[in-house]
Amino acid sequence: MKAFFSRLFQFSAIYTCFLSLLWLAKYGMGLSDYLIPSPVEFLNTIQEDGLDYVAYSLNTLSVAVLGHIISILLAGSISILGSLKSTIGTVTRVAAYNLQAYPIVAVSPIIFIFLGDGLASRLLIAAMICYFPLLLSLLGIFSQPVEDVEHFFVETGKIHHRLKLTIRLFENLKKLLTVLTGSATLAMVGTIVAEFLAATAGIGHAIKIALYQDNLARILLALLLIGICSSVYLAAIEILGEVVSRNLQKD
Amino acid sequence: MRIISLIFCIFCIIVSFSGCTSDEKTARPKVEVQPVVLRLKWLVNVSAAGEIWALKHHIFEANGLHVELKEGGLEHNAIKDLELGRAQFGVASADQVIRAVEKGADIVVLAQIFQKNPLKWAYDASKLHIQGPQDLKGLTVGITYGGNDEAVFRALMAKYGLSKEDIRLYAVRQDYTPFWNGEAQLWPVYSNVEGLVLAQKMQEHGKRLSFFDPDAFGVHLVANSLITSRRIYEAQPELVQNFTKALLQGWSQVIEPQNELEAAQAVHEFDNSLDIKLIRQQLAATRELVTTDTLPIGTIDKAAWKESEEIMLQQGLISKPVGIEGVLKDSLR
Amino acid sequence: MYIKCQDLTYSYFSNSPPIFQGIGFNISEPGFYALFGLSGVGKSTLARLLTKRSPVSSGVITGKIETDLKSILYAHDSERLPEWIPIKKHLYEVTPLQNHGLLNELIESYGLRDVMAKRFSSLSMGQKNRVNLIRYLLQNWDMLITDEVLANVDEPTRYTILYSIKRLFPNRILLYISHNAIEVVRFSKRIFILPQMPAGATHLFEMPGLNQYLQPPDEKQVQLSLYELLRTASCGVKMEDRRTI
Repeated sequence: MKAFFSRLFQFSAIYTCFLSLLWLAKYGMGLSDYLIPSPVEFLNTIQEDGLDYVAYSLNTLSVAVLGHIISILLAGSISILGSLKSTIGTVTRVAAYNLQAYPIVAVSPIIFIFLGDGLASRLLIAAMICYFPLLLSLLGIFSQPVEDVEHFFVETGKIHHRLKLTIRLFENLKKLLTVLTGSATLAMVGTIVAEFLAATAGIGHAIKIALYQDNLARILLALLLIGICSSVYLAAIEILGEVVSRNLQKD
Repeated sequence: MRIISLIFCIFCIIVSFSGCTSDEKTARPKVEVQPVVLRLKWLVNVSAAGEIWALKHHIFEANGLHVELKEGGLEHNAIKDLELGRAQFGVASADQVIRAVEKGADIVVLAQIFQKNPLKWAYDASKLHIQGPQDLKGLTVGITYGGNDEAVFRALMAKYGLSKEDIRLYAVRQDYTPFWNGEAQLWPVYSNVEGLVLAQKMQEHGKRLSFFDPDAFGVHLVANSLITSRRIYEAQPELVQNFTKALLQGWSQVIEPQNELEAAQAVHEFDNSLDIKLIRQQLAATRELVTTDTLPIGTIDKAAWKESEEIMLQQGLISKPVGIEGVLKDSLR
Repeated sequence: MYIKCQDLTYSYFSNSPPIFQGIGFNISEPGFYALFGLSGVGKSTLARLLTKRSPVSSGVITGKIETDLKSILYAHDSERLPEWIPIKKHLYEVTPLQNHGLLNELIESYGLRDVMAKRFSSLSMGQKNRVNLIRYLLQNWDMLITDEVLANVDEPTRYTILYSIKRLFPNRILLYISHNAIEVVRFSKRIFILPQMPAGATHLFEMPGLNQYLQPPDEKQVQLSLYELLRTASCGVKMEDRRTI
């Protein structure tokens, strides 16, 4: 729970600073409400559009979470394949390192052409955008021996591939959690970008509409809700990681 | 001391000679030009033909202006640029202007470039026969949620008593796939730009493109208009006058049929994604938008602006009337 | 039962100076042996070569290792047990079924009964050393090389452990690598000394140990042997009749 409140507090502090600077610039430079909305307009927007935007944000969050889970499973499977010393392992590793240069956002219009603008395309883009960092981290984890722990099993001939992966995964749990938290942010970003580009639901779509309408107050509201949702999700991952870690190490 | 004086003299000689060249052109006295930035509404294409012509034929320079054209877009808004001082002039549509004025932006409309709105809905005329709004019942119509086409179409629906049960609205995206595969029967396009590109593609596939024009059914939302900030309008009237004059002169010349080829070549230099032949067709279509039978180019249609304000009020895009007449200025009349 | 090395040379890289060269030794009967040398002379490297875990130098190889031993294990002090299971579960999983009785005995005699339910990281350094050693001792090995595996264990417990190894595994070869010269001198049957030389050791010295088992040896003898061991290891003295073949 501490992680949860800590993240929310951090985000609130940053967001408040951001708004303060924005309004400082507005009143300092004498900018109109068209350019930067007033605090009153912002509060009115929260009142009028708040509930709708919360629904959009939760929609985006659910897609991001699902996409993230899919990418974890996918990255896990491919990295296990990539950890093999055989040709398959080598080819998988090479492909993974080279394909990561492809910006998924650039490929997303093609995804929308084939999958339409529904859930499938948003999910795929969210999954793909956090897939590569996860894959590379997992490949690194699975290919790096933990000599101190593996030595006994190697000496006594008891080592096998699954044991090796288990040891390496466990020994790098903290690193893995850090990567999971980072990729969770990417999942949110990816989903929002996908929605912005071509979807018809979610907070990204709402931001696009707000941009067309030059409604910065709505965009600020969207940013607030995105920050809250991201903080909640990241905190949830940290708490889950803590629980798993503690249970595995319980005497 | 002597050496220092000598060095100083040599330096002065070098500096004074560096100002001299044998180039005849630079021997002429320099004309003072004022640098000016014009932020367009969208990309530099045929919808900015007048600006391009004025630039290419030094009309701006003849009026003492050095103009830099900057393309507009979702992130680059002419009204914001005016307020931040990044541009002195801009091109914006009525919905942008009205929204900005409601929020306190202090701008002035100098001229109305497009007398008719190029925004129309393309459809396959070999499959559909649309004579009026009632023929839209049962169809799927693409709209850009939040965009001016949404405002226009909803105004049309309201005017002709069409409900959301009658017409299915489809969120438009950057590619035309839903239109091609028949998911949406009508697709919003700018008839003088991508509308003609689409028409050509459809023709290649044995189809025939036609446009559904809300303007023809009494829904008028004013399109591209020249704007500036009130600050500039009041502080630099000569600049405003010169610029407006130069721009409208550019438009007057670019739409002349005898200049069509040259105009197309000029536009092609900025937008070489299309061939000259297609740009000429676009210019012809643009001519229809810019001219009227009786009024000079750039005339501000106050009634159309009032109607635009009404549409936005009805659609809830503004919360109260903004008194749009107060920002319309006809500086040359 | 034997293991023999001749002219063993090892360098980390082909163009780097050898760690040692022309090393040879011969063990032909079971017992408690020790490998001694100052830090950094290459004891662990030599030990790993015997288990064939590290590649031999890509330079000129004149050495060879001959043995009829089926299983040579190498244990070192940095090893850790998997953290996701309690120690007891791990030990029972890795110990052959026929040795479970011996496992219980060793857990008791090495003072580890109270820590069996814990995870490895919550043990003290000494406890960790003992747990690690136990799991090696209970494998099926012909030769066990232990590299500082009891470095953090207190002296009385160390002596208990070393006595128990001698008692329980009289028919196997134990090569004990340690910096504890007194222990090496007391308990070993024979001591192999890798001396510190400027260009890497060029031969392996050998001296008899006092092979302590139930009765402690004479202290004066311990002191003399200790002196000889340390002088040989620092290579300050030419040993005429104590060179290996």
